Amino acid sequence: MEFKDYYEILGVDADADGKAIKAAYRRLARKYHPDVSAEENAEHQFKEVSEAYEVLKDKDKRAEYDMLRQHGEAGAFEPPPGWQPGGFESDPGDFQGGFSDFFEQVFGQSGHSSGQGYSRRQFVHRGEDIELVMAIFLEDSLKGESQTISYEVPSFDAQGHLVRQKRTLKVKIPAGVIEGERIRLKGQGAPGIGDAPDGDLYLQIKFAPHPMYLVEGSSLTVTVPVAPWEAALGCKMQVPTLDGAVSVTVPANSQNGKRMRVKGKGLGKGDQRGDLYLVLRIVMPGSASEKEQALWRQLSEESTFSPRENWGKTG
Amino acid sequence: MSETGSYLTLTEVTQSIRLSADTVVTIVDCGIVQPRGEQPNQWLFEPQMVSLMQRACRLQRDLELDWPAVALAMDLIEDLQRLRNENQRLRRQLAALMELETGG
Repeated sequence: MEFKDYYEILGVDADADGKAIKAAYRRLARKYHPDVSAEENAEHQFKEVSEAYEVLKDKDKRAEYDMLRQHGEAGAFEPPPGWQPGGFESDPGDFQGGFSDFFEQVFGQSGHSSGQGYSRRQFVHRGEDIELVMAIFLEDSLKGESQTISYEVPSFDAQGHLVRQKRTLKVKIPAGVIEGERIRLKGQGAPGIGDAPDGDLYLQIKFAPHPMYLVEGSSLTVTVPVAPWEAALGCKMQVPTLDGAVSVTVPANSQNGKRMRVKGKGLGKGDQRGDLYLVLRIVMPGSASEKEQALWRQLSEESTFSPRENWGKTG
Repeated sequence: MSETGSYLTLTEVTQSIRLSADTVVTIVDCGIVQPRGEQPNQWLFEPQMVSLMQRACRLQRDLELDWPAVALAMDLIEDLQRLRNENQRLRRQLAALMELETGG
C-alpha cells in the first residue's frame, strides 16, 4: 500500500498550525470540488484533499498519523506490527468510493461522523437512492414510450453480506420529457433495512445524439441546405420534423444563415411544446456544366450587386 | 409499471438526502430551490430539486460556506452550465453552417 503524505497533498509543512491547514484545504477544495471544478481528475484530487484534511484537522488523528509518518514514509506502507486501527469516526462524504485503503488501514473502516445532517445513515436504514442516466431517442421523447431498464441494487443476503441484486423494470417515459429532466421512481432504489422504507430510483434523461437535430431545451434546430437560386427566387420544400414532413416556403432573397421557425414542432408536450428552427445554408454546386457557367456569367454581367461595397468604410 | 414523475414531500426529502427539516427550510429560504406549496408541510419538491439540494449541501460542507454564499455559488454554477451548453450548441450550429471542424 502506498503511504499517503497528507502534508504534501495539502501543500503545507509538517509543523503547519491548524489555521494554515484549514486555509490550504479551503483553497484546494475550491479548486478541485467536483461541483465547481473544470480541472481534470477533479473528483479524485478532491477526495485526496478531503481525506488529508479529515486527518490533519483533528488533533488526535493528526498525532497518530505523525507517529506513522516517522515510522516509514517512503515507498510501500505496512502498518507497524500490532497496529490497531483507531476506530475514529469519519465522513468520506457522498462521493463514490469513500477514503483510500491507506486511510482505512490507519484509522479503521470509516464510519460516519455525527456532523451536521449527514449522520442519520447509521440510525435510519432507509435504502439508498439510485441514480441512472437514461438515454432516449428524440423521437421517443414525444410519445410516452415504455422502456425496460436493468440495474443493480445493493442489498444484504441472509448472512448479512452485501450483494448486488439485478433488477429489471418497465418504465413509462412521460410524453414530452426534455434533456436533464429527472424521473423519480418511488421505492425502486436499494431496499431499506428492517422496516425502513426503500430508496428511490432516479432516471436522468439524456438524448441520444441525433444526426439531424440540435437540441436546446425544448427547441430543435436543423440546418437546411439550399441551392443559390432557391435562396434567390424562393421555393417551397418539404422539411422533415419529428412528426413527419411539413411544407415550408423559403422567401425570395433569403440570406445564408436565415432562421425560420416552424411552430410547435420541437420537443415537449401540449402547449409547452417547443419550436423547430430551420437554418438555411446556401450550398454551391461542386461543378458547373458549360451551360450553367454561361448562365452564371450572364448573371454576373447583368447584376449590379456588389457584396463588398462597404469595405473600407466606417462601421 | 412504476409510478413516474412524482413529487417529494418535505419528509421524503429529509429521508432521501439525510437532511434535517431545518436545513431544508434554510435552503428554501435562500431560494436555492422553490417547492410548490406555501407551508413546509404542504411543500412538494420536483425530483430535479433533490439533486440541487444535494449539490448545495456538498458545497456548504466541503467548502465550509454559509448558505447565502452557497446560493450565490449555485446561481453561478447554473449560469456557467447554461452558457457552456449554449456555447456548445452555437459552435455546432456554426460548424454545420460553415463546414468547419468542430473543435472540442
